[in-house]
Amino acid sequence: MDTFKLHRMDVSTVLIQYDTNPSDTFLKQLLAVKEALKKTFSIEIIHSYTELLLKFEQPIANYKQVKDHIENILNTKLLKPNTKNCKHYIPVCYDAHFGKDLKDIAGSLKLTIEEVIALHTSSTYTIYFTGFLPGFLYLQGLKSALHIPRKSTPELVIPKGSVAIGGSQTGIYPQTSPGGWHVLGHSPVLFFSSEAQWSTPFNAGDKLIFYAINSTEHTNITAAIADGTYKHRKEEIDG
Amino acid sequence: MGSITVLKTGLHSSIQDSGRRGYADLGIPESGAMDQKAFLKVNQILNNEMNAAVLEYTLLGPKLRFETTTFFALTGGIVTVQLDKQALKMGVVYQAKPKQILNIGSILKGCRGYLGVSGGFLTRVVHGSRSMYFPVTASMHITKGEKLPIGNSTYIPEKGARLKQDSSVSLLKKNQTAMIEVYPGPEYQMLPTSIQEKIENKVFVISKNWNRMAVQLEELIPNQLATLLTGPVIPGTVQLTSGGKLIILMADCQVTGGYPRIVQLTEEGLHTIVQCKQGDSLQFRLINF
Repeated sequence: MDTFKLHRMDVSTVLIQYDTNPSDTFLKQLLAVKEALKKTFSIEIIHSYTELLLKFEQPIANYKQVKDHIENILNTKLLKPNTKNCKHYIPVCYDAHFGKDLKDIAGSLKLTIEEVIALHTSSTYTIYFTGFLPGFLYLQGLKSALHIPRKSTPELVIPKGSVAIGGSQTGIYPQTSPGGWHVLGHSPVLFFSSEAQWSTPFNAGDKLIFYAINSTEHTNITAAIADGTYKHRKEEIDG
Repeated sequence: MGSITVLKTGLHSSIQDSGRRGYADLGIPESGAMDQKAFLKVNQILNNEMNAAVLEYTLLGPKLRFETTTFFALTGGIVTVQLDKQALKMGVVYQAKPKQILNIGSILKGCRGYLGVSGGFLTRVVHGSRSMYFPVTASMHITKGEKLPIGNSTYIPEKGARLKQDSSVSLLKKNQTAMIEVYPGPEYQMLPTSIQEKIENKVFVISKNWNRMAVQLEELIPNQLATLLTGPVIPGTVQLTSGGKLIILMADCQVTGGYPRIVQLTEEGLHTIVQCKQGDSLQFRLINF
């Protein structure tokens, strides 16, 4: 079993920290623990790479009791999480007017633009969790040949839908925002919407693949999304 | 149903309620009224539901026109405020007639104020809350010319009922140092003793970077702490960056962060910090469970 420790953040919040390195295997265990804790306590729980944050609605009256209960669950050998995971195919237009930093990245990494695109589209990424911005997916799996330090001076404006890389990570900006990552291209797919009928199709543990589309396809998909008629390709995968 | 027209927005004015809980998995911050005490107070004196939405403003209040007869009250930072030519007091329920103008001036003590109305503000609910936060809501702030819908009044004035100025409101006096109660954070033990001593004893000053997302302190604490794997954070979490910046996360903060979480504001600590602004000084008071 991975070792863990509990930390009381405040009167109603408990942090569980695992002493381990992130991995797809550990993520599955973490999500199973999260599910079991949610069933027991019926509270909001957030996970990250190796931590779980339990947000109780009221100050915890008997912490020792809660702590014992949590530890029992964490020490139990658990089944896989119940959520079915999916593989998402995300269209990205890597044309120059979308991929503002493509030429510079290629230069810095001593690759051709085609090689950068090939490396970016040939990985199967794992969605670990959402954070930073509403709808921002933390993805793991970027090939090391594409690892590049983030910009020392962030751009003030990175347009919504920009697909970018920074450090050892890649991601999609779900809203226009300042950012320090290098923009490779643009995806018209929605990663966040405040429309009542929209719910996120992306879950932790899901896989994601980027594939290249041309300008015309990009325009068509954008229009279909505006109409509400577009759904990106998605397949269920075995746990 | 009634409405209020925004003639002047004031500064960082937005509709807020108790916040948006349960959506951190989507990366959505809690938001909500920064001064939850003042928020609860104004709804209490108006006999509103606890979660009725209010109008929050920072440093400078808005100028508003009531379109319908409305009971209202103000709490939070001390302001000079007039209804047409009548000077008003904080914490008292007044009745405005249609077309009367409410002019909320500069905040003289504290930095955030609240306008509550009977029936609450009825702007759009998204994910269970009216708290404004872009992109969850269409805008971060109210806009000039906007008509804010408000609910039906449920307030019945009681003869002789007038609240005293709430003396439990923690507003800093001039040159007073705020004592901010904190618990040790998950990474507090990582700090060398010399830094722990600084955290516990130094008087810090709030920098010009302060808003609903975070309050940054002026003083830098040079350190050799490694960046962490991104982990969960909540309002009240204090981060220490590799560059030595101390950042106190607030209501609109991101749900995850990669910097060491060195202390965590208690509920009292949060009640105090939300009325502090650039130039105010503070000290951390470390307490344990």
